[in-house]
Amino acid sequence: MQQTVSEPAAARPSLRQRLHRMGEARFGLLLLIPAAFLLLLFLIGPLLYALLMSLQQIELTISPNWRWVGLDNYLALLGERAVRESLGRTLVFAGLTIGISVFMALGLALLLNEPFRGRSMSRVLVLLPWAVAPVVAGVLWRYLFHSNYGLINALLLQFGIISAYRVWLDSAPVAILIAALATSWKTLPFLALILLARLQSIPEALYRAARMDGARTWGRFRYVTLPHLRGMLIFAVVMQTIVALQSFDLIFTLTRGGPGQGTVLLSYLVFINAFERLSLGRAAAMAVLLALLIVVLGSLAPLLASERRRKEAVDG
Amino acid sequence: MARMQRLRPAAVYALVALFLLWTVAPIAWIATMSVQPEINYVSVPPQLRLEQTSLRWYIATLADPDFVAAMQTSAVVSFVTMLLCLVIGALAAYPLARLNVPHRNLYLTVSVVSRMLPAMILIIPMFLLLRWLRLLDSYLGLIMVYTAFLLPYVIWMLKNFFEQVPYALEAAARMDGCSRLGALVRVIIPVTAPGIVATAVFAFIGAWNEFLFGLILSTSKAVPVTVKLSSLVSTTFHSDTSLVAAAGMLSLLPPVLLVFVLNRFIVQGLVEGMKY
Amino acid sequence: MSRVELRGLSKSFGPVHAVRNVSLDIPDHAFVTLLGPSGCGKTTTLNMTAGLEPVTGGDIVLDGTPITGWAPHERGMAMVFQNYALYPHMNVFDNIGFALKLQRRPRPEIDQRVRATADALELGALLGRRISQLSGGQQQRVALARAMVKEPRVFLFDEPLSNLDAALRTRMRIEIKRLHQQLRTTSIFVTHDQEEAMILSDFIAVMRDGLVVQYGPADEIYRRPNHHYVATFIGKPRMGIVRGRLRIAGAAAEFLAEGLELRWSGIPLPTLADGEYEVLLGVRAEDVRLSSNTDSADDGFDGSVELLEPLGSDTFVEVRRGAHSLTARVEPEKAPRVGETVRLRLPWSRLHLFDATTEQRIN
Repeated sequence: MQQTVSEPAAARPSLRQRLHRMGEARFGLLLLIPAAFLLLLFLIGPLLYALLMSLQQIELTISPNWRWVGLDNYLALLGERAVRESLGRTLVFAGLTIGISVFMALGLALLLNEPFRGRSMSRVLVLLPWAVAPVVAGVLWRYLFHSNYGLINALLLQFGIISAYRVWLDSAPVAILIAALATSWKTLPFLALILLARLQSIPEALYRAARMDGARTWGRFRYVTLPHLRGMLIFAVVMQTIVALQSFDLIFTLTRGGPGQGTVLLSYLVFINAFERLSLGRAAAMAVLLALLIVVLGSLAPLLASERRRKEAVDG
Repeated sequence: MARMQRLRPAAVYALVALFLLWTVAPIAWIATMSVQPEINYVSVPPQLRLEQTSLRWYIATLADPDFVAAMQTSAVVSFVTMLLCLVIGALAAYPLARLNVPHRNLYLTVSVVSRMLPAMILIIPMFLLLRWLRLLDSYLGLIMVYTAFLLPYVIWMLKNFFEQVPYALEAAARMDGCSRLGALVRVIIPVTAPGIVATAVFAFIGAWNEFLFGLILSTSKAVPVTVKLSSLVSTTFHSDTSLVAAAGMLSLLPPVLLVFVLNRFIVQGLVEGMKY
Repeated sequence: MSRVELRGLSKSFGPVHAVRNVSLDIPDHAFVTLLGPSGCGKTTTLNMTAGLEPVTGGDIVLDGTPITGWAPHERGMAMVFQNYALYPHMNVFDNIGFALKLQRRPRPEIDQRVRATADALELGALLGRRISQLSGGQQQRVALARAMVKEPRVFLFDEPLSNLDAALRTRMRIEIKRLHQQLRTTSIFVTHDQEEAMILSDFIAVMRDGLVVQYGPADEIYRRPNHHYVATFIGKPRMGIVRGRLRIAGAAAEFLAEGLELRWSGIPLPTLADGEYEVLLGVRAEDVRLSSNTDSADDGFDGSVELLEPLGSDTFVEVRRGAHSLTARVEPEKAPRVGETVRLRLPWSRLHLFDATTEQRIN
C-alpha cells in the first residue's frame, strides 16, 4: 500500500492545500496579525497619542481645550523645581537601591552556589518577594516600619536600641531609605538568580588553574569570579536604575509620596501631574522623557553585559 | 561545584538563615498581624498570644462582597489574560523564531522596545481609548489592556524557547504530514512545554500584580484586588488592621502559591526571559 | 515508478547562492548519493527535493509530475535526519506511527504497520519506551522505521550516520544497504564521507559550491573522475597529484616536473593531440608500482621512503623526491623500510591527467 502522490486538483486547490503551500513569508505574516492588531491598538496607538499630548498644553482644571505648544512642555520641565527635586530624589533612591540590592544579590548568589543542606528549599523561599506585587510590597514594608505596630519598632525596642517607638516614615530621607530597602527586597530574587546563573557557568578548571598559580580565596574571587561577573553586575545596575525610574506602585502604598513631597519620585510626579493637577500635557512630556530614558538604558544593558563577555572570551 | 570560598559550613548556614529571614520577615509579620487581634500587636511591646490566633479576620474579609468581587476580578482577568497572551503570543513568536518574514528584524526590535515601556506613559491615552470603546470599568477592558501590555514580554520569552527546538524536529513533523501550524501545535509546543509553563506563570503573575491600570481604568465593577487592597490601606480610620492584614495576605496568596508549586519553571523563565 | 528529476535547481539566501544549478536524473530504484564537503549545497538540494526549502529556481519532477511547489507530505517522500529528530514527548510506537496518525488511518492498520516495521528493524520490544531511554543505534533505527512505515516512493537521507561512532556507523551502513536491496526504493543520500558514498551508492553526484561537478555510476566516478576536485575527493588514500608539463609526440609522452622526469613510449593512440600541456598528473596508490632502486624504467622515479602506514591488509608507502610525494600500496610483506630508496613506476594506462588551469580531465 504505497503512498500515492496526490495530484493537485485540476481546478482550484483546496483551502487546506493553499494554506500548506503558502509561502513562508505570507504565512508568517498571517500568524503575526492578531498580535500586531492588539499591539497597534492598545500599545503603539496610545504611545503615539501620548507623544501627541506631550506637545499640547492641557490643563483640565482651567479649560477642556488643548493648545498646541510644540516642545514648550519639555523645555518647561527642565526648569521646573519640582522636577529637579524629584530627579534628585530618584537618583538618591536609585543609588541606595543599587548599593543595597546588588551587594546583597552577589552575596546570596555566592551562597546559593555552595552546596548545603536545604539549598533547594532555600532557592524556593528566596523567590517569594518576586511573586509579591509592588503594591503589596509597599503595604508589607509600611507595616514593618509602622509607628504603632511595626515589627521594626518592636524589635528595636526589645533590643534596647530605641527607647520609644519612632515614626519612621515621617522623615523624607528615612522614607527614601525604607523605599530603597523595600525595592531591594522585592528585586533580590531576580538579581540573585541571574548572578547565580552566571556564576554556575564559570568553568571549574579556572579555579584550579588559579590555585595552581598560588591564588588564595580572595585572590580567586578577585581574578576569576569577579571578571566573569562584571558584565552581569553592570546589567544588574542598569536594571535597578530602570526599576527606580519606574517605581510607582510601591511608593503609592508605602508613603503616597509623603511626607509632603518627600518621596515623590519621577514616576510619581507624572502621576501627580496627570491625575491630581490634571496637567495632561506636562505629564505626557514627563512620561515621554522617562520612557525614552528607560528604553535607552534597557537597550544599552545587554550591550554592556555582552561587550564584557566578548572581551573576556578574548582575554580568557 | 566550585568551592571557591572555603567558608566554614557554619558561616554559610548562618548567612543563608539571615537571607531567609530577610526574605520572609515582611510576609511573616503581616501574616502574624492577620491572625492576631490588633490590641496584641499595637501594644508596646507587642503581646502576641498564641491562644488568640484566629482566622476570623480572613472569614470576615471573605464575607465582604466588595473584596470577594475584587478577588474574582483579579482571578478572571489574570487567567484570561494569561490564556490570550499564550495563544496570540505563540502565534506571533513562531514566525519570529523560525520563519523568514520580511522586516523580521523590525518586529523583533519593536517587541524588545515595547517590553520596556513604562505603564505611566500609556495610562492617560489608555483611559481615553477605553472610554471611547466603552470598556472602562469592565473585565474585557482590563483583559485587553493587560494582554497588550504583557504581550511583548510573552512573545519574547516564547520566541527564545521556540528557537531552542532543533529545526530537524519540525522538518520531521512536516515530512510526516504536519502543516507548519500543525508542527507548531503537535511538536514544538509539547517539546517546549516547560518554557510555556514558565511563560504562563509570568503572564498570570504579571496580570495579577498589575496596579496602575486597574487604579485608573476601573471604578467599581472591575476593581482588581491590588487596587482594593491599596484603598483599604489608605483609609485612615479603618475598623481593624487585622482585616487589612488578612486582605493583604489573600492578595499575595495566588502568586506565592504558584511560586511554591512551579518554582523550577519560574527560575528557568527568569533566566530565559532576560536574554536578548 | 519513482524517478526523480532535478532540473536546474537553484537556491539563494539573499546574496548567498547555496545551490546554483543542479540537474540530476535519478532513476527508479536507484541509490544516489550527493557527496561533498559542508557548504557545497547538498543538504539544501535534499531539502528542496523534500519540500522543506522553497525553490528559488528550477523544477523538481517526480515520475513526470512537477512537484516543485508541493508541501512535503504531498510528495510521498520520507526523510531520515542526521540527529534522528525523534519526537521526545512520544514513545517509540507513536514516533513511528505519527505520519499514519496524521493521515487518519484506522487504528488497527496503524498498529499492524508500525509493529511490522518495528519487527523488521528489531525494535519490537522497544515500542513502549521513551526516546530518551534508547541508545544512539536504537534511535537511528527508530528514525529509519519512521521513514519506512510510510512506504514512501523516495527515501531521503540527510547524513544519518555522521553522529555515530565508527563501529555503529559501519553496522548501520550495512543495514541501509540491505534495506535498499530489499525494498528497492529510490533513495537520495547526503554525506561528506566518500567511503560511505562508494559503499552505498549506485550513482554519486559530487558537489562543490552549489554545483554538481560530476554525476555518474559510483565506479565510474572512481575510475574516471572528470575533474581534479572529484579525483582528490574520492578514494582513500587521496589520489597523488603532481603538477608539471606534459609533452606528447606521437606515441611518446614526457612529463617534467621540478626534479622529476618521466617518459612513456608506445602509448595507445589517440589519447591526446601532440603538443605541450600544463597538467596535474594524478595516480592512485593502488596503481603505483613499487620496485627496488635497481629498476631503471623510464616511467618511474627514485625516491626515499618517508612514512609507512600499515593497515594490516595493505601497507601504504609514502615516497618523497624533492618537493614531490606519492603514496604506493604494497602487500605488507613487501614493504620497504623507512629511509630506503625505492623506485615508483607510474604506468600510462593508470594515469589521470587534468588540465592545470581548468582542472578538467584531458585523457
